[in-house]
Amino acid sequence: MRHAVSYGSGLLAVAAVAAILLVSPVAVEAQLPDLSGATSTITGTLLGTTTVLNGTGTLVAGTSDALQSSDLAGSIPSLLMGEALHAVTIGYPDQIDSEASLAALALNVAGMSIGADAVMARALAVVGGAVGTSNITNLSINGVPIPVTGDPNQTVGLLGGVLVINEQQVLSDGTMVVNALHAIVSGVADVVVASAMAGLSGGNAQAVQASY
Amino acid sequence: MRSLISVCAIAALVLAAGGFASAWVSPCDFLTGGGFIIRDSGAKANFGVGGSCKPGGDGHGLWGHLEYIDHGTGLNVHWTTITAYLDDGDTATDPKTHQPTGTRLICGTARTNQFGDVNWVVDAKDTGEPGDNDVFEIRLTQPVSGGPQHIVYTTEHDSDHTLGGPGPGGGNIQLHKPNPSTSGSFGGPCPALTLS
Repeated sequence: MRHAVSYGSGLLAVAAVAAILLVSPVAVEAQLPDLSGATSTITGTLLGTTTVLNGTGTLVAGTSDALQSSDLAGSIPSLLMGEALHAVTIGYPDQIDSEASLAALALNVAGMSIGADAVMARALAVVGGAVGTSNITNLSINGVPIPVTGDPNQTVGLLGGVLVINEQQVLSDGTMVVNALHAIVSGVADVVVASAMAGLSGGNAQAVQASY
Repeated sequence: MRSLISVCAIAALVLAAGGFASAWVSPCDFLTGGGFIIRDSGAKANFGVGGSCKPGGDGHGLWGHLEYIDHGTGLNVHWTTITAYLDDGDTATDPKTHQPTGTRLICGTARTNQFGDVNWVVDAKDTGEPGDNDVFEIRLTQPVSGGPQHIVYTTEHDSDHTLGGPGPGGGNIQLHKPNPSTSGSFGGPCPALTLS
């Protein structure tokens, strides 16, 4: 994939630091999902302010309706910017489809710059099961490309925290929660970019949820 | 890849036939998606889109939305109404996910930063997973002296309409099956398809 970034010497130094971070095991603060179906929760630090950009609200399971939210652009000052924010959840008697996305992500947390050209989370629940997927294009940290494996709950170490890619949680009732990107920096910020939920707990989608 | 023009011709026939659209056996569904395309200039154009025959219930016409930013021209498009949702007749089922695939046209009105208020039509195609070959095209029109529409912006002549262009992907477009709230039929007015 093309990258418009040209790597200057300063950036190379940053890249070297980032590379060290990436190869160094960092304790994962998120309690990652137990895919056997046991309850899983994210234990990011509870911080002072929580902001949601383009959330659909919750659609009760079994409700035949469709909720949506969109915006040309969205931002949280000094933390995050994105474009074409989009969130939908569609309910059926026997199914829920939820989807959230944004483009041109620029997330700055604890001096680190996390970017992606496109980020999307989708969750689909049907009777007897649920699946989740994420689409993430050209993810980078401090300008260094981050390969996305496609596996659930891929982690990348951040200074003082962790970035979980394609985070998938299965709640106790089988509800699937997919967070395309979840950046947790202890005591600084807990940011979810593109979140989709589907299951007995209902349908919900959010372009961004940030505590800081 | 089929161009928006040919799809428009089909849609125009549907519109011209009036009640013909409501005679289609395919029940009305939903299309949603987000990501980016790459213009022939090399610039990215980011979008988020949704559409359905379902009444929006919010005073903005049908259910749906459109957000679009072309970084090559600086164009911003923010939807104001959804006026039509049209089936291109290519609905199928993804053998991997068992979810529907196909092309839909979504029409509406929008505010832009370069042309003022416009009519628009989006041609969006879900080709199945993972979405790399999904298609997004957009056309904006305005009336000439209050009469027929003329195109003020379009991506339909670009060489590649797939999400992310030649790269490994750039979002996803998803067709969703109907639910009991989609009581309307495919159709509705689409001025962006009625050119001078």
